[in-house]
Parts: sequence; C-alpha cells; structure tokens
Amino acid sequence: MRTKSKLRLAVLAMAGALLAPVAALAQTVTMWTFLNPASETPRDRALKQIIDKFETANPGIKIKVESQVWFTLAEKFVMAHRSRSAPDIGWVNGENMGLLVNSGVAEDLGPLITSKWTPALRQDLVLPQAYEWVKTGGKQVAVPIMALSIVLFYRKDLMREVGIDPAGIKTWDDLAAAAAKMQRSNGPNVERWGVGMHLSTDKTTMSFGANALAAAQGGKLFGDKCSALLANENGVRALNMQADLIRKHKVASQESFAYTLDDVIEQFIAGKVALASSGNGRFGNVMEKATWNGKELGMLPWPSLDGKKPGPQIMSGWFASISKDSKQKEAAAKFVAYMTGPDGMEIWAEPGGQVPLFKSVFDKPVFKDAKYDPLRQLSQMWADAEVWLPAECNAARTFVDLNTATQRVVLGNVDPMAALREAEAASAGRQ
Amino acid sequence: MMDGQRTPFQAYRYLLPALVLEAGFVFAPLALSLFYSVHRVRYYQLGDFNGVQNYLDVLSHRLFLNSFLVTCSFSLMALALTFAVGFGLALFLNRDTSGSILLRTIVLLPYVIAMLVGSMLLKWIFSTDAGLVPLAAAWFNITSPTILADPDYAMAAMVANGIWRDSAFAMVMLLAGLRSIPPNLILAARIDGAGSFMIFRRIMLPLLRPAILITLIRLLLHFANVLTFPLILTGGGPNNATETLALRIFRIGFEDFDLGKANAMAIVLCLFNIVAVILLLAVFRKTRGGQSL
Repeated sequence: MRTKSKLRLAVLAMAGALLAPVAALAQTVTMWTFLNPASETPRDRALKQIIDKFETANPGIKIKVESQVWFTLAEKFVMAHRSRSAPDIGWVNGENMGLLVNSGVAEDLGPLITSKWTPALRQDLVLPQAYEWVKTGGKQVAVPIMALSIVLFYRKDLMREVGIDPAGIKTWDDLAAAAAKMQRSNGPNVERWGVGMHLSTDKTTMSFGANALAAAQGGKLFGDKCSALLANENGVRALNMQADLIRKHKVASQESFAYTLDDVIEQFIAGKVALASSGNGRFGNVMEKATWNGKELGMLPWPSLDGKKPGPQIMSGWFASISKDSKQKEAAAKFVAYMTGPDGMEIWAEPGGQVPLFKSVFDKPVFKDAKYDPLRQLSQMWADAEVWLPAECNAARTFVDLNTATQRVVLGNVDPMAALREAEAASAGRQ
Repeated sequence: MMDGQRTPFQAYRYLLPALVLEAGFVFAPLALSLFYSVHRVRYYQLGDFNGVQNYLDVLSHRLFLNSFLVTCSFSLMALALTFAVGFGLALFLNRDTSGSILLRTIVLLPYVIAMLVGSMLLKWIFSTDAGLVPLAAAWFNITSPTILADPDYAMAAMVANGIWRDSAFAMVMLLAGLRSIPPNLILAARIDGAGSFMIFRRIMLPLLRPAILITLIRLLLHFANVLTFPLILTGGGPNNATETLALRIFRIGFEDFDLGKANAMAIVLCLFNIVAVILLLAVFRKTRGGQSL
C-alpha cells in the first residue's frame, strides 16, 4: 500500500513538472479582425509579420486571430461582450465608433498604453486628432491601427488618353466633364462608366453627396446631440449634384442605387468604371488586382461645389479596442501597443501599404522610394483637409439616409428638400 | 402500471421531449423577445421598462406601412408562382424514368445551395453592368433594364429568387402527396371512363389537399419571414421598394442598434404570420364546405 502511494505521488509530481512550463507558456490573446494572416493581401501579410515579430519578442504571449466580416465586426464585438464571450482585442471601424463609445464595453487604454508614451512619441504622431477622437469622458476607448479616408481613385492612363490634367478637377462639374470624356459606350450599352458610386441602402460609407455637403458646411454633418445637418440649401445642392451624375450627366449607372462600396471597387478593378470612391486602404489591393496596369492608379483630392478648396477628407479607420472583460488586459495591451506603435506602423506601411501614423517612420530612408509617393500624397491630403465626424454619432446609417434621399429624388420624384427632411428625421431617430 | 392500462400522465411523458424542445427553441425566445419589446434596449444594453412605446414607434414610422405592403405583395406573388411552378414540376416528374430522376435532381439543386450563395449568384446574374442577363440581352440586340435599380424589376427579381429556390421544395412536398394516392383509385377511374383532367380534379386534387395546405403554409411563412433575399439580392432598395418587415427588423436591430424596437416589430411580424395562417386555413375550410381537413 505504501509503495502504491509513493508511486502515485511520483506520477503526480512528474505530471506536474511536465505541465507546469506549458501552463506558464499558455497566455493566448484572442483578436477579432477582418484581416486573415493566412491570406495574401498586403494588409494580411502585414498583420502576419506583426504577429510573428511580436511573438518572437514575447514568447509568453500567443496571438490567436479570429477573422470576421468587416462590416459586422463592431456589432459582434459588443454583442459578444454582452454574452461574456468577447475576444481580448476587437477591431472597430470608424463608422461604427458610435456603437463602441455608447456601449461602454471598451477598457480604458489610457493607463495601459497612451499614458506610457514619452513626450517625443506624442510629438511624433501624424494624426494626433485620431487619438483624441476616440477619447470619451477622459477614457481612451481605442487606438488607431490604420487611418483611412474615402478617396477618389482614378486611372492616370485614361486621364492622359482624353487629355485631362487631374489637378484641374476642382469642382463637381469638372469631375462630371472628365467622367463624360472617359466614358465608353458601344451602341446603347455602356462598356465603361465615367464614375462608380455606391448609393445602395445597404451598409455603406461616405458618398459623393455626403462629401459635398460636408464641404459646404465647413466639414460638419452633425450638430448638437448628433442631429444630422442635411435638410438645408447645402443639402439640396449636394443631393442634386449626386443625382445629376446619374440623371443629367449620365456618367454613372442607375445601378449605383444597388451598389455597395465593394461592388464599385470590383467594377473599377475590372475596368468597368473610370473613377471610383474607395477607402484608401485598398490602394495596394487595387494595384495588385487591377485588370489594367495597376501602376496607373492615382488618387484625386475631393472636388467641392465652389472649387475654392478641396472637399474634406472625412477620416475614419480601423481601431483596436480591448474588452473590459478581458482576463489578460496587460498582455493584450502589450500587443496593441506594439501593433499600433512605431514598429508595427513600419510593417503596416510596408508591406501593408498604409500611411504610417508616426512621422519618424515615414522619414526613414526606405520610404523615400517613389513607390511610396501615393502614401505621401494621401498624408498631404489629410493634412490639407482632415475632418473627424463626432465619434459618438451613428454616421454609417446617416450616410445610408442620404443615399435613400437620393434614391427617393431620382426614382420617386420626391422634392429634394422633403427627401432630406425625411433623411434628417431618420438619422435623428437612431442617434 | 400494468400492461394495457393508461394513466393520464402517460401521454405527457411521450410528449415531454417535444415540449422541452419547443420550450427551449420557441417559447423561451418568444418570451425573451416580448420582454425586450417592452424595454429600451439600445446598443445591446437592457434599459428601462418602456411599455408599448416601442410598438407605437415602429407602427407609426412612415416606412412601416411600406414594409408591410412589400412583405404582403412579395409573399403573395412568390407564394402563388412558386406553388404553381412546384405543382407543375411535381405533376411532370411524377414517374420514375431515368430522365425524371435526373430532372428532379437538377430542380433540387437551387434548394440545396445555401440561400446566401444563391442570392449572391442571382445578384451577379441580374447586374446590368456586369451580369449575365444584360449579356444575353445584348446577343439579341436588346438593352437590358437596370433590374436591381428599378423598383418594379427589383421586386420581380426577388420573386424570381423565391421561385428559383423554393419551387423545388414545393415539388418535393407535392410529389410525396402524389405518391401517396393509391394507383388503383386512378385505375378504377380510368376504367369508368374518366379523362386525365377529371382524374386530376376529382381524385388527385382532393387527395392532395393536406399536402397542398402544408406546402402553402410552409411557403407562406418562409416568404413572409425571409431575410436573405432582400438583404443580399436587393438590399431593400431601390427606394425601399423591396424592404420587407424582416429586413426592417434586421436593420433596426443590427444597424440602428435598437433591439427594443426590433423585437417589437418581430412580435408584430409573428402576429402577422399567425393571422396569415389562420386566413389560409379559413380559405381551405371554406373550399371544403366547412369540414376540417
């Protein structure tokens, strides 16, 4: 009996000795993102490199990525928090920041990340406003991973072909004229539209009309308590401009009313539209996938109604947030700090194709190469016209309301002001 | 308990598993939905008791009537056409030749494809700028309309989605009904000199009544509640022409983040379903002269 007990003890001790290092190693931080490190797009490759480097430097922490659909990421993160199954880190897009801010599920990253910054690092920020934007009640609910804005993509080869200087496109009328010249038809069938617009009422982002309206209102789309500023003379002008691209200038397909941003980009990649709006984050992807020479891809500053200065770059982006329920906030914060710090930003720039959010990264010799000119151009466009809509407002659906108003005007012959009043009321109802 | 004796509880013992499943998957979610519908639930956070305010808000919204009418018209059109096509297919394929078996398999394909994939496929087919329909139209020198960006055509596309996918379901249900008709009845009728139409009207149709009713109810509930067709194929547009009640619930709940109102509307939709089924049953009873099935 005594021998048996000793034997049991010995087995237990051996098992404990074997399992102890495993337990010490096992700190897995789960992250929800729309990227997939196993995939091959520039941003996917960048995320994989960031994780690999971080795990090499921090052998005690493993990053487990669970890929999600981009447009439901924020909702799923908040809902998962309510059901106590949230990941440690969740990515949230700027359009849905209102959900994160209002839901109160995010840990304050101030003490965990930003308060540890040196003054030099603070001075190094390209977009300090991006950090301020996601502060609510003094709490830092998220930090930016990559800044994005909806930009106008164009094809340099087509502009050359029709003899248009892109720099000369200052107003929306200029844009319509350029689009008309680049449009190609075969009999009654249009083979290439001048402009691709996403005007569906599905999940959407800023449209041409929203940009024109924000430009006319000094970058404002929301007033006090997130009341949308749509039903006014500026709104009517912006809405008519957008509608006229379809009904008057006929440079955009009526099917724009069924297109999402993704549809428009697919059309642009396939050479079926000459100008298209898209998140700048897709620049590298479009270059790679284009059925035409991807090196001919360019970005235009937004036109405006009066042409006096460019339209606003309405800023958004992807932000990292840590769940309040996370059991390993320190480890999660360590990874977020790395991913969003200068080391991570260098990888987001190359191979990720994103504008680094620290000046010192951009100043490195490697980024002097001409292939990074688009990133520099974008950075300059942001510096010239950066606008952050209030984070607590449900901006994504307000963009949908504007699209609905455009549909009602073009398809339902509704008076523009009446359609905008409806849109304003719809927006107010959900804030 | 002795053999052959029954106790009052015996039946409930047999019913228990089904009741437990019903309670877990039907009554509990329904009760929860009812609970949420009378509370303020913003950003997925349960707030104060709200009484019937959510109901008043959703019912008084200008888009509610639009969604209600869209749901009614879509459900009725899709139901009638899907049933007709499914019935036609069932009658046509009610034999066991190798050709019929192959055709049945082909007809069933859209039903076994995931709804989401099927709707995405149709969206691509209907796209004016990049789809197959305009390409086919161009071969015949016809300019294709902008199907998904025209309110009438978009509704037609959604109905087509329903027929394409669900006529196979109707066919299977009705085929099973047709197979359950004793062949000697039909043989006897033929011997008595009845023609094909008479046999169909006087023998097949009456004996198919249970299968027809179940098929109609199942299809009606499916079309009244389906989310995938409007969400994926048309996005509810253009100009809200295809925004059904189910899509509106989805948007209020998951895009406006107001689960209180979304659940209030879900309860309204549930009542709509009950009323629709009662009406369908009443029509069936009436056509049978007041007798139950």
